[in-house]
Parts: sequence; structure tokens; C-alpha cells
Amino acid sequence: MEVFVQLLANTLQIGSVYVLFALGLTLIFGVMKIVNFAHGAFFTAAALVVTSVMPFATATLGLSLPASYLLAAIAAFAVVLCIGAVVFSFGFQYVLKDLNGSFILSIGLLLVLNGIYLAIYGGAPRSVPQVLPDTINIFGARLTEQRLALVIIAIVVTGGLYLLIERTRLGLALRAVAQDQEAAMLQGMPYRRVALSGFLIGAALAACAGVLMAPINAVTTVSGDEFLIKAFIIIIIGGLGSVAGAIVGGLFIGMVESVGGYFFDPSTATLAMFILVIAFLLVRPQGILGNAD
Amino acid sequence: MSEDTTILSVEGLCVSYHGVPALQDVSLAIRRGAITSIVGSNGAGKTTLMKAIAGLLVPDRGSVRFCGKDIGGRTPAETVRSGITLVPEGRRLFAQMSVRDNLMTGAYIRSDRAAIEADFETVLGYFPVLRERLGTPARALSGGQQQMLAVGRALMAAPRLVMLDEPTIGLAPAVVDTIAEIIETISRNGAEVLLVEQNAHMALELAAHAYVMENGRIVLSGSGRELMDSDLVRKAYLGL
Repeated sequence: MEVFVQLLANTLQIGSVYVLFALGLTLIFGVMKIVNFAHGAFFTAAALVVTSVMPFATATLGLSLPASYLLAAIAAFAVVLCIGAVVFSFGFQYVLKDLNGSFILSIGLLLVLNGIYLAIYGGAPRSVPQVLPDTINIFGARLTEQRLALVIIAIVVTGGLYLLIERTRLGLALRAVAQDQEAAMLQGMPYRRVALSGFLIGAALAACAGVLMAPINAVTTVSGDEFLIKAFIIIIIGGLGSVAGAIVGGLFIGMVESVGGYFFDPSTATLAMFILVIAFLLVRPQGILGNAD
Repeated sequence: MSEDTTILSVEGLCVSYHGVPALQDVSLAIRRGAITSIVGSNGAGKTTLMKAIAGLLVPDRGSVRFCGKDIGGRTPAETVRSGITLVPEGRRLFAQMSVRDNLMTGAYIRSDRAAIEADFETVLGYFPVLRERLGTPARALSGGQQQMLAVGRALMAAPRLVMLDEPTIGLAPAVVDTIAEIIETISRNGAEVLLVEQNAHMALELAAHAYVMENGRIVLSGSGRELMDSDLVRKAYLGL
């Protein structure tokens, strides 16, 4: 029982961050029909901003830990949305629905952004204190409150995204553009503006993952790239462009990682993921919830 | 033909795809209060003309005037806002969305909630079969129901001009009759209709005024009855 609960808690904690990250990637793919290899750079930027704003806020401004984390989160979202708006305006809007062009652009962008991060922050891992360091016991399993809060926030954000997509006018446009861009334009939907909205929401989701992970793992200038590889695995398994697929796939990969890591070791878990991807590509290339058409 | 009876006029329109001309010097006028039809075989340029009016294609030359205003070079979104909607060839529904959401995409440009709700009821009044299937994804509908949904979606924009591109293609005769009745109803209720069809019989029967297109040009025009009696149309399009 203890082991089961502990593994479930680990799965939720790892998986919920993967879900946020993969949702952004899959949303951007759905609306713009591009694969954004620079998606991890949004995560990294957010995490790095948290590691520089938080110490500043506590030491110089004298704010409490929760207040300085909140301030850092706001700064991180602002920075990521600015980066997102700039790379969309000067880059991605010219390669909409262009897989080759967006591949070249986003790989180049990833290198440039990683270089900038390295120049600013250097190569050493950076960390910030946990806001909620206490540990709680649930059925004998131990979980820090920080990680519990992370899971709750991730669930709320995912639920909010679901409502946005299913219940709002912008969500209707995002879905319409993803399914048939020309037909969406014939309903009066301005494609470029809708694409920008989708891109910024995707970037904000990556930023959210980065903000949540910064107090838990040490941050380096390439932190996000690890998530990118996992996110590709998740959306291949879950189904490219599918919101539900990103959620199912994210939790599934979180489970493989925590269960595999517990009974075997982390490298076996990673190996298992790649074998799963190969199996999916051979047997069900559209993923669990993807559409074949 | 004076401005006040003409709602849409196309003058000397030329469109090409990668240098290959698809429309050559096309001129036509749509008059208020009557259905206008364009007939022609596959590849005659009918769909290209629709797309150029809708703003999906940028013409090389020529003008498109709607209600007296030049709308050439406008984006599709601007064209919809000015009151023109296109029911595209192949319907182009949002396959994974419910019938209700598909209809709501048509009303995207509007914010007048009460009027949208009223138009929603009107559309469901035209097509009662859709009311029973509001939660069904569009891809699960029959071909006829999909076409009704595509027409309904276009009406949700409260358009002044509805362009229908091959609305009866591949449909059973009974469904074709339903669509024809609805087209007449739309016209009676105050919106102008531009109907593009390979089904020349239906298109000419409904139309007060009609055009025949061949190889990217208008080759004949007249009232629906005149065209039905012309040798060209009888031989090439009605198989008589």
C-alpha cells in the first residue's frame, strides 16, 4: 500500500509537469501545424527567471518566501510571453503550416536562446528554496507540500485550459483553425491572430511548468530540453494535436518513469520509453487518442 | 444596371495559379432579391471565382464591388464581416466538433447574443433533423445532414450574400429537393444567393439570372429560362 501510494504520488508529480509541457507543444502543433523544437527554451527561461528574481526579492526587497515566489512567477510569465511574441512576429508567423521551415527556425532558435541563457547565467546549476518545504504523510507515503501544491496547480491549469478550449470564443477558433484552417477563415476567424494566441498559450504552459519545477529541481540553461524529448514521446503516444492525448500520455510517461525508476533504475525507465515510442510508431502511429485522418 | 439593384459586381476579374490563368476577364452582377446561378463543368473556374470573391485568392486584375464598396484584396475575415459567406465545395465542416459548435463557428464574427440565439433557432427550423443531433460530431452525420449543417453554419453569420459551391453534389434526389427549397427560402427571407452548380437543371430552375462558365470565362448569360432553352446549355449541361 505504502509503495503503491508513493508511486502514485510520484507519477502524479512527474506526470503533471509533463502534461503542462506537452499540452503547450501539442496546442502549438494543432493550431500552427509546426513542431516547435524551441519549446523547452520557454520552460528554461521561466525557471531561470525564477532563480534570479526570487533571491533578489527576498534579499533586497525583503519579501517573504511565498511573496517573492509569486513575484518571480509573474516576472517569468512576462519574460516568456515577450520572448514568445518576439519569436512569433519575427519568425514563426512566416513558417505557419511549414514543417521544414519551422524545423530549421526552431532548431536555430533553440541554439540561439540556449547561447543567450549560457551567456547570462553561466553553466552552473541554480536553485531556489522550496516555498512549502514541509512533508506530509498520505497512507504512509511521504510527499513534500511543495510537490503536492505543484500537482494541484497543474490540475487547475489543465482544467482551465480545457474550459478555455471547450467553452470560449477563442477556444472555438483554436479548435476550428486546428481542424481546417481555410474553413475557419471562411467563418471570419483571423488565422494569424488565432495562431499567435495559440502560440502564446502554449508558451505560457511551458512557463508554468518551468515556474513549478524551479524550486524542486536545480535549474540549468538546458533544463527544458530534457522535457522536450519527453514531451515528444508523450505526444507520439497520446496522439499529436490531441489535448486529451497529451494528458493521458503525460501521466503514462510519468508512471513509466516513477514505476520503472523504483523497480529497476532510471536508465531502464528511459529505455522503456523509447521502446514504447518505437512500438507505438509501428502499431498505432496516430497515438492513443489521435485521429488517423 | 444601376447600383441600387446590384449587390455584388465583378468586373474583368483575372486569377491565375502559378502563372496558369484560371479566370480570364470574368464579369458578372448579382441583383437584389433574386437567385443568381453559375453553371459549368469541372475545372471551368467556378470554385476559383467563389474563392476570389471570398478573399481566399488574390486576383491579378479586376475588381469586386459589394454594396457599392470595393472589396478586392480583402482578407477572408474582412469579407465575412462585410456580409458575404461561402458554403465551400466539399462542405469543409469541422469534423470533430459537435453540430452545435459547428453552427457557432458561423456566428464567430457576431456578438449580439440574442440575435445569434434567434438565428440558431431559425436554422434549426430550416433543418429540424439537426436539432436532434446537436451534440453529435459533424463527421458522424450523413452526407445530406452535413450539407445542411454547412448551409446552416453559413447562415449563422447573418450574411447579406450566401455563396453556395456545389451544394448538391453526391446527394440523394430527396435531399437535393430539401436543399433547393432552403435556397429559395433563404432568398425569400432577404439574403442574396449565388449558386454554383454542376447540376444545371436545378441551378437554372431556381435562378432569375444565370451565367455559364467554360475554361475560366463567362460564355453565356441570361435568365434561367433563357439559358435552359439555349442550345449550348441543352447539349452540354442538360444532356438533351
